[in-house]
Amino acid sequence: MFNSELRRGSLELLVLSVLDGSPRHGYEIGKLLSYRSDGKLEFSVSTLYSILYRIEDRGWIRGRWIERSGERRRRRYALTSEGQQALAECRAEWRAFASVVNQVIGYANA
Amino acid sequence: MHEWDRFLRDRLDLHKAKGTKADRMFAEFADHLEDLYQDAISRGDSEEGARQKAEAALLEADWQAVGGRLRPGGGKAVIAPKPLDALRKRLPLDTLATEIRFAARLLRKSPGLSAIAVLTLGLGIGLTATMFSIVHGTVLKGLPFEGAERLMALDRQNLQHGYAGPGVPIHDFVYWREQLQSFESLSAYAGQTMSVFGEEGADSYAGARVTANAFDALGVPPVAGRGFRPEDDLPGAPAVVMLGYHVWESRFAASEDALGQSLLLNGEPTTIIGVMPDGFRFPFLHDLWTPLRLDPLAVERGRGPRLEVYGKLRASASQASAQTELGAVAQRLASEFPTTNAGLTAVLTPYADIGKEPRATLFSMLAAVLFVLLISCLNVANLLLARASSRSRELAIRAALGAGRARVILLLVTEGLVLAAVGGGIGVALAALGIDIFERATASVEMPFWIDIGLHAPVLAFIVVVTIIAGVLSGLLPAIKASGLGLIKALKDEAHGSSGLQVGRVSRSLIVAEVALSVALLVGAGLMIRSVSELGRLDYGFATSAVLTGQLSPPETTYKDGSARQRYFERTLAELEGVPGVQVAALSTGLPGVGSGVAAVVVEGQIYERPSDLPLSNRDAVSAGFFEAFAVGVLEGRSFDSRDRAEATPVAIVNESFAQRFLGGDEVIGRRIRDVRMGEPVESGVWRSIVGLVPDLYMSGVEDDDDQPAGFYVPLDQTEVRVVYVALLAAGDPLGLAQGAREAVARVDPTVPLISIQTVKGAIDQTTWYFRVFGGLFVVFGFAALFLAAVGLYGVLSTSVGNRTREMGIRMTLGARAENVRALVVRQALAQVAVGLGFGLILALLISRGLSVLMYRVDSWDPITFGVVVLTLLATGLLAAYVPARRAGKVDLMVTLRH
Repeated sequence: MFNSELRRGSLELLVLSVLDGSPRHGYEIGKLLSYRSDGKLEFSVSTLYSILYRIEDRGWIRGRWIERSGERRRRRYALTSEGQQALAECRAEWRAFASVVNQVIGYANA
Repeated sequence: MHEWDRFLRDRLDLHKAKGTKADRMFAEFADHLEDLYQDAISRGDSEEGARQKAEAALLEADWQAVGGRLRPGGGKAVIAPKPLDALRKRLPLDTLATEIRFAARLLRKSPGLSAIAVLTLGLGIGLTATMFSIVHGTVLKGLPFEGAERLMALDRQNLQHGYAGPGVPIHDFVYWREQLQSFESLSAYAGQTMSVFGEEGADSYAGARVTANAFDALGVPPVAGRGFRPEDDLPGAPAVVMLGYHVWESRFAASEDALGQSLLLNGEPTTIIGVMPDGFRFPFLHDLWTPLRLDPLAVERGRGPRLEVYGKLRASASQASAQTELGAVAQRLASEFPTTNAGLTAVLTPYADIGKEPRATLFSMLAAVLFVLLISCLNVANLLLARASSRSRELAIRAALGAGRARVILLLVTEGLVLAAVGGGIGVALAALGIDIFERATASVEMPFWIDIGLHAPVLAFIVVVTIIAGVLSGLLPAIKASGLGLIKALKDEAHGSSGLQVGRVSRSLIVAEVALSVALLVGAGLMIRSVSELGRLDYGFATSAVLTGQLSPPETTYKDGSARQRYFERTLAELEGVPGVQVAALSTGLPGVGSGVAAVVVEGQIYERPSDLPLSNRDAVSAGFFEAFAVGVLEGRSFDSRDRAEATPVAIVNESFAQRFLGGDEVIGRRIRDVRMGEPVESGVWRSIVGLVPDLYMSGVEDDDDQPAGFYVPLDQTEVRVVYVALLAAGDPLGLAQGAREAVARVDPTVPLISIQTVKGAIDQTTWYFRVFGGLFVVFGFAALFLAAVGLYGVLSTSVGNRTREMGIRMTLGARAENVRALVVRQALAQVAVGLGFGLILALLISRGLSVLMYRVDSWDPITFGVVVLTLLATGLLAAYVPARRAGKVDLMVTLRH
């Protein structure tokens, strides 16, 4: 829905935030993003997994095969401690950026 | 789960991608697609629609971004721990639990196969458990006493012909007791029918007169009152009795008031001093015990009552050392008292030993039933093998993901164990049923009190062990074959519609083995059936179903000597003759077809050095109407009649075998024989004139299917008799005479009841029970084996045809007709059966030799039986091949080519 440039910049933050709390597998992450955004954010399979693999390479998340009773084995991702830190920094940065942008565009219309 | 793997690799054009990273990613994408698919389904899409949605999601994607990761060496690798490495680090128990859950899930997915496998194993385990509980209860369990394995029975033995007469004379027992060092103590008993007379009337029990220390050796104290003391056992001591628990319950309502009461036992007032525990019926099936009150001084050596002797070995003695000592003591006896003991020795055997032959039979049957179990396991192994071949891809991928061969083996063995566990449960239920049926079939057979057949702890433990072995056996073979597959080979084979795990040589060998085992069991079953039918068709040569029999034991305390008993028998016979419906009445000491007494015999004109050299012959004392009661005609001379009283000339009637063996088959009438009681001096025997010749009447019973024994008969009045059989030839139904006969006997002496009332046919059947019972068991095993083998053959052929549809289709394309393809399948089935038959016949010949004791008048290589079995197996093979053959002929060419 939104401009793809905008989306891409915030993708990693979005994925990290969904993983804050409990480990999740790829499909869950996609569904949560869709749910939390009331359907306004949908990602293709390739995009989602390329983000996951990228931030996994960076060491911000770790993926593990986990089997829960009643379910088949799934690969679930969880935040590492570096990931937690990165998430906090990204959140702070986003809030700062958003407020600056608001300030600028609001100022023009004022 | 939909198979996304192939789709992914095809569409992503990444066939060359390999390595654990690629596999991992594919697995993840596959999961994702599966979730998309399931979501669509749950939203109401059709399967096709859902599949398309999932595939579309994949195709929209920009795979370049991901592509780098998928190319070998692309991207920085963060190697997540291999999934199964993590599992391997866990405790083995965790792993096993996981595998069990997985196996159970897989089995639930194919309920048909699992049901067949479980029932197959249940049948095999159930039959095995039934047989083992029989073996355990009769042979392994032994006497329920402490140290029972040291309890020995002692008996005399004739050095020449083995049998030294019934029991041990008093003086020998006393001598042994004084001399033998190997035993803690020596005890003896003499069985006696004991009539108890009270308000309820007369009752007859199997009783035993015992030495005072009889129960000490067994270590069983009374449950009420006291046991025997040495002073109870002295001649002339006051009469006392110990009650069996059952008697105490039924006659005295298990009240302690019974102790000290007096009852009329064999006509003598006797005081009750104690009660033995429930289930105690030593020595055999006895319910009352009185002291033996031996008086060696009052009786001449060699005479007097005969005893059964037993004793407990000292801890320091072994059976072998005790036997040596006993032999030496017997030798001293023989040299000190040659008149009575020359030529005699003594032997000891474990008390609970049921005999070498019965034991051998039981163990052979256990071996036979293990064959059936083996067939079950082979069947299940075949089933799992066939299924493993359709799972080869799943197994190969598991292996590729790092499962390792051991893990795959563990999975398949676990499946076998899970199946076996359920089958074991069914087996226990089947065993309970089988035991119940066996007990009912043998309800009329008098088995010793210590035989206890049931699902006891050792039997259950055996079942558990057998179940585990069955499970491992069933799962191991497919496991080993399946785990050896390579991934690519498996994928390639699946793509072409064949299976690397061909129903090949292994399956065929299993079937051959099953057929062989079935043949062996069926031959055994067939021989049993023939034996039982021979028994049934046996022409006894005398009346059986029309004759009623019973037993009378006038007690010694009332009838103190021979002439008193003779008068009793005369009066009783007269009363019996008057019973309405009785055509002929007779008394005798034995029954044709059941058994008789044995005596030593001297033939006039022959010389014998010692008493032990005398030949043995069957011998019975019979009243005048005996042969007429059994509708037997005299061949020469005459039958006994009113002339043959006590004061008249002693006479005898001989049978044909006697005439052949001892009289040279010549003229018998007028010749003389001497009738000597076993173990007594020759001079004590009476010279008798032979007045008649009769046919052989199975004097030793019908079991002995060899030549019939030589036997002779003497008039009842002309000899000493204690216990007699009654024989009543009935005009109509003999059992209708029972009440009248009981009343007639009671009129003479109400304290002496007529017991064991049945037809002579019934009495004979009781002696041959084990042919029918064990024969029946064997038939069950044989047919179970046949059924299992047929099911196995069908299963294997079915799978084989299923796997070879392509080949069948191609054959037909190349011009073969449907009949040819069908014939091919049938030929292959028959080939396997034929090879199995070959091995099986050899096995059968070996087994039938071991079963010869259960066979009656049937050769162990009986051609009819073998022929029928061969035909049955061939027919079964044809039947099993029928459906698969038809399916093979109906293969759709187009379907085949598309495969």
